[in-house]
Amino acid sequence: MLGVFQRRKILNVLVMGILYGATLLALVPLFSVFYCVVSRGWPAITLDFFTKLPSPVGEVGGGIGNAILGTATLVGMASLVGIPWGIIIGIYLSEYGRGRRATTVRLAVDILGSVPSIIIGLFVYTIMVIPMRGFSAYAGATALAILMVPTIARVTEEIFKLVPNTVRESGLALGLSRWKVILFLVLRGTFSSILTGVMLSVARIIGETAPLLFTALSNSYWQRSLSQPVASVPVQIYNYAISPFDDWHQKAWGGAFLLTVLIFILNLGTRMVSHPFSGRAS
Amino acid sequence: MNTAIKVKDLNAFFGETKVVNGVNFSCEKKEVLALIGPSGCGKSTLIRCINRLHEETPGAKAMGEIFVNGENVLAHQVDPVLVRSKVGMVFQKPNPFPTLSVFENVVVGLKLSGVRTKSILEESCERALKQAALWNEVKDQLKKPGSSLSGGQQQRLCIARALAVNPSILLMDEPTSALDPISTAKIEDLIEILKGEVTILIVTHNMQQAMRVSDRTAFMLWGELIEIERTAKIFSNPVDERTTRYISGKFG
Amino acid sequence: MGSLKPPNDIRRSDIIFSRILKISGWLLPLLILSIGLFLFENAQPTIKKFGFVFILGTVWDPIHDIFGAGPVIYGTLASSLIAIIIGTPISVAVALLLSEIIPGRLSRSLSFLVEMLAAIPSVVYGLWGIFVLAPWMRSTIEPFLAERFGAIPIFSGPFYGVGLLSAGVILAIMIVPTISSICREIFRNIPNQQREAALALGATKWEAIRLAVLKNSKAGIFGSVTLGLGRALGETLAVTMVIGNRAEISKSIFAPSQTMASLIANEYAEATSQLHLSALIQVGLTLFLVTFVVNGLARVMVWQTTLRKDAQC
Repeated sequence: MLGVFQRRKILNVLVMGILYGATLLALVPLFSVFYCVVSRGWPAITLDFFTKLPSPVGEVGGGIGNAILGTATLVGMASLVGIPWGIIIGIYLSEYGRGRRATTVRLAVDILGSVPSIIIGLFVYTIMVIPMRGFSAYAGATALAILMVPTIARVTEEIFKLVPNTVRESGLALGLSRWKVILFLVLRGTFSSILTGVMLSVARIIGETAPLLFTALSNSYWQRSLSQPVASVPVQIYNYAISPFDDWHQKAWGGAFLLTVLIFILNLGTRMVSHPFSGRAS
Repeated sequence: MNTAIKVKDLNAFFGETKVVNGVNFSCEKKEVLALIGPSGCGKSTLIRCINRLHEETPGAKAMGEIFVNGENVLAHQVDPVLVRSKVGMVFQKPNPFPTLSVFENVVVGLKLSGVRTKSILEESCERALKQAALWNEVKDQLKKPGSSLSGGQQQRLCIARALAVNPSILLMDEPTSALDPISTAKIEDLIEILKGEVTILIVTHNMQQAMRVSDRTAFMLWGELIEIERTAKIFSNPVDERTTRYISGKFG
Repeated sequence: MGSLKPPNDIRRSDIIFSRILKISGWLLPLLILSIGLFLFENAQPTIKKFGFVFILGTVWDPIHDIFGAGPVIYGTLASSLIAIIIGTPISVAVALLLSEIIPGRLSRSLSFLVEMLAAIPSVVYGLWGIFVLAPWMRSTIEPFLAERFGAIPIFSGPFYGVGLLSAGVILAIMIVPTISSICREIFRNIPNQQREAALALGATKWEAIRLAVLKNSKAGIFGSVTLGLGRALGETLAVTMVIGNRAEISKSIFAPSQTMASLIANEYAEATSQLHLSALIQVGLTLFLVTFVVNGLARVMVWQTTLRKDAQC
């Protein structure tokens, strides 16, 4: 018969084993997804993949060049609005952020950040696609921009808050106006950190599919106008994945490979650039 | 055998930094030994080696021998868990478990060691709370959360919690430095009574306290044990010059 | 000695600057209100026709213009529940391992990996779900469950690999980073004196964790799970690709199903009638409100635990 102490020791070892086991279990999908994306997607990565249009239904060959260009276009357009807007809100919350009014805005940032992306897509559908009577790159970019704002605003606010007040005070003491102090003194020093926020939000939106379904839709041809539907990599992956054609399945993996590599690089990049707000206090 | 603790050639490190340097001393059964010295002299580290708590800090290690009731607790094959169940500790800041009731706090050590019988637990709880001079104040509030007590009461709760498992040695790491004078006095009175039942090693930065409660006092400086002597003698007529300087330099 | 007030042009530029900032900020709450409003506005046809009984209706039949959101609400709740049942213990275990047991550098690398789980886009999970997870569920897990526990209603019936269970599993994978990162924060905030108190009493490592960490984190863990729930409710693509797309309530978790989000994603292309479209938007409005409430609750819970911790120190 085991003594109480022995039983406690065994239980301790068992629990440690469970904790290690659970963590391994949690990481299995990560490795599985990575493995599949690389092993099934890499063969699809050819020059054609980047440069050709999708081939007609059922035919092998072609590429997703238009979708890649489409994603770049949408992300670029979204960034033009999303990044400045996010930074401005971050600055507002950090520099003018005491009091109930700012708290409401801060809350709104949080809330917006947790609205499902499909709802954002649906919303842009009602305010842009319906009145404009059609899907467009503008609508897609709008949805993505809305999705970018919370991440950038949060990061900007945290980074600005880390800048010591002495910087602001010395600027003001020199007689500079407040906006100059903020933009030229505080902002200057935080560039790399804000860059990480930008990279994080780009990493988030390049994989977004749901909102694009009702805004940018899809397109089998090269983009001619921004007020027309536009193809994008995630939507293409989705369409190919649910199709019955093997060649298209492989292209879907190829698209997944592309997205995953880009996202991984962006995330690694944010780790390289120092970002004090996520460093642990030891 | 009358020696409760015997420390032999103890060296303790945080990483590469040595904070206890070649300490040797013994502590008699049922005596109160006070450890005094300036901040950072290693006195807390020293007692934390005795209950193997020092090594819980990442990168920390201790070398040497510490005999508790004849057995070397620093030996590799000795399980720290067993050591700690025989050596009680009270910390500087009272730390009862906030989600547990007063009763549950006191008996938690007993429950860990497998005691389940309600009557035994209740009996031990009463005994320990009486030993800690807290019974009368909380006997009607045993179900209340441990954190609902005042600071001084919480510390006595922690003392009761440590005493409930009948340790032979009680380590106290500046137990009153976070308390008000009245609570401090209550605990000092407590120590006076407890020493008949348990060996007490108390770290304190308050020399008056050492004078009031201890039988012998040890003075540490920069990780070394400079002098250990009967309390009355060390404060009136210390041997080492460094001890004299420390004692005369501090103002309570 | 001139006036001590700043020169007029500086004051004016500062005022303009702060106005721009304030307006940009206020656009956000306005945006959120607009989302609710526009969805409400565009769902009018079905709101007028079905009212709020929409939520209770158990039939979703676009062909006959009968729209009841019951099946998709069920699908959403069931898949999220499965996700939480599977995901919470794993998340807490990961958080404990990384914050209490594994030291610094290794812990940071492992937590980076766990965070990478959150970075994988939903559609990539969906792709993996269709070609890897679902076949594996169909060949390995579901037969096992059906054989051993087939008597229990939720494990009864035919299995296809795609269905409620697979959707729940994928959701579980996706919410682990969320729950575990918040739990890790909570564990980190527990003062070390608590752990030392437990250890000093002769507790084993696990006992010390139980006493000092877990017992003190109950509210926070609950809050983190609610936040994970909020995330699971809104997940679209991964779920759409493995849930089987059938808007029907079934007692088995092997059965194909549909969530609010997957319904919208699946049927928007075929929604030619005004009523169908309006019904989809009404489902969207419902999803918006549900996630609003759940996330709000979660925020309050997590906020409250951090307040309590500050008060205790």
